[in-house]
Amino acid sequence: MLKNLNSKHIQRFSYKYLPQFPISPNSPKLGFSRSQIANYRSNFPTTIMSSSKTIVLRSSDGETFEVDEAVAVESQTIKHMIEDGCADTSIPLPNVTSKILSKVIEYCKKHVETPNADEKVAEEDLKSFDADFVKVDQSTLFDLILAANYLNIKSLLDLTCQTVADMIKGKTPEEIRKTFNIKNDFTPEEEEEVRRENAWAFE
Amino acid sequence: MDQISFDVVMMEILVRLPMKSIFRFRSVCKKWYEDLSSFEFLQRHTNRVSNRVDELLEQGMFPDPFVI
Repeated sequence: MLKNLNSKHIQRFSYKYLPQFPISPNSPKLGFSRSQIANYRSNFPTTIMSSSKTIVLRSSDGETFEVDEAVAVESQTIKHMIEDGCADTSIPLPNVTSKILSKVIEYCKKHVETPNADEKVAEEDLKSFDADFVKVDQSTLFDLILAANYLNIKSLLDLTCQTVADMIKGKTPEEIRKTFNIKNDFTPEEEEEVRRENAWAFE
Repeated sequence: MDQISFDVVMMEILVRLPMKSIFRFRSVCKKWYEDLSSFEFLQRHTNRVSNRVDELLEQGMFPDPFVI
């Protein structure tokens, strides 16, 4: 079994053999929570990754993107991968194509670079960036929603979903079916019944 | 896009719709009728709306919860 250990195994399991901090008779013997690891690391600043580190992300079609760590951790998914020590060489993102990943990185860069959205100018600038960012076709917008969901980037998810929601909120059910290519499987009587149940919404 | 991904995306979008639209879209198809009437969906939707209403009330506005 030892023959099959590679550096990735050692990297993943090595934290189990670190001393717990603080050491006490009541410390659990097995398993470290994320907060314990973070607490341990925060007390040993010399072992922490430097703040100017870059992370390599690999899209589903094999393209690599090198980004600052501060930009990459806008994604909670990537942030946890880094904290769990899975980000040694590069982070594979099999659910995200290069086209979408480059857009997501552009978004994260902009939102990290804009310091405090308290200042009027910065806030207006960010708002207009966001407005232009979502001026894409529906298919790309859907892919962006999926990526924001998978990468767990709350602000991007809110922005993209709210954009689509605002587009469709005034539509009739028939327009919805056309937009998303949905087949109406109600009989006319069933549909009439549902409309009657929710009549006030059709006023 | 496969069906599961589409459903995930659609759920995220529908949760951000106002209540009036939710009621109206129940008649799109049987699946949407079930999804938009399910307890989990309505609970999540109501939580979102009530948090948003709280935010707006703090800012001094009087929002209509069915239109938020």
